[in-house]
Amino acid sequence: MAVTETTPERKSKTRSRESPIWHVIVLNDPVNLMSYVVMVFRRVFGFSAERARRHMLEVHRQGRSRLWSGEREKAEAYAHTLQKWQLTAILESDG
Amino acid sequence: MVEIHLNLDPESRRTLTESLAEYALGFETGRSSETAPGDLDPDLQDLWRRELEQQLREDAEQLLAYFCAEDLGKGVIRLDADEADAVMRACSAVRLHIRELVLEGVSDASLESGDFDVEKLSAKEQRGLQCYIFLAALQSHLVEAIDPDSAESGNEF
Repeated sequence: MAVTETTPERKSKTRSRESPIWHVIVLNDPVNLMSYVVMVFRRVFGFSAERARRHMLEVHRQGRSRLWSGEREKAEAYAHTLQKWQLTAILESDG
Repeated sequence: MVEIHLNLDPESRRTLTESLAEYALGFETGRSSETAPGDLDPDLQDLWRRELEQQLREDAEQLLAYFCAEDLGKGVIRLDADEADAVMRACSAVRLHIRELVLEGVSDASLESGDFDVEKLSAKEQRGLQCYIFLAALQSHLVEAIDPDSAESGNEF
């Protein structure tokens, strides 16, 4: 039993040392409305209106905002969903 | 359920429905073809692109079903939540398409501020702009109805 319980933890630590962290980045575009972008951020990430608005303004003013960071598979799913909502989303990694 | 009341004169309705039909049916390859992560397996890139194109087609069909009808502007359009989502996505997609296809001669800054002479645009550009503005108003109305907190962020680009 002890082995069964400790193995996943060890695997998890190994993965976190070896796997890069992936970031979901949204880029600015001249078309999508501010209110729409905020709504999409709230829908996709479950952000509060305030947090979503902060990210939207960062996109608007700086051209990009990092919306989420974590494992690759989940980052891909977020980027794909954002693209379905017609936002320009890309992935970047620290690795 | 979201209700939309449109009041259009016959000429505006004709122009709008023609433009919508042209631009919403005009997607041959979406922007999505360039947005799959470059290091993905080619099969997964293809799947990524096909799923986005499928979504785009379904959204455009929903938009056309309601806003390309002969009786557009005569009565109330009612959308349930899923239909409203599809129409909102389609509004963005068609606006992006118009921006790239017809309004490429207008700078981003001018388009955002509205500071340009419409009379100097060609007939095709004016028609595209009319559709572009209509879709922005439609999307804004839907966001306001579905998520009033987000709507407070305004309708600038």
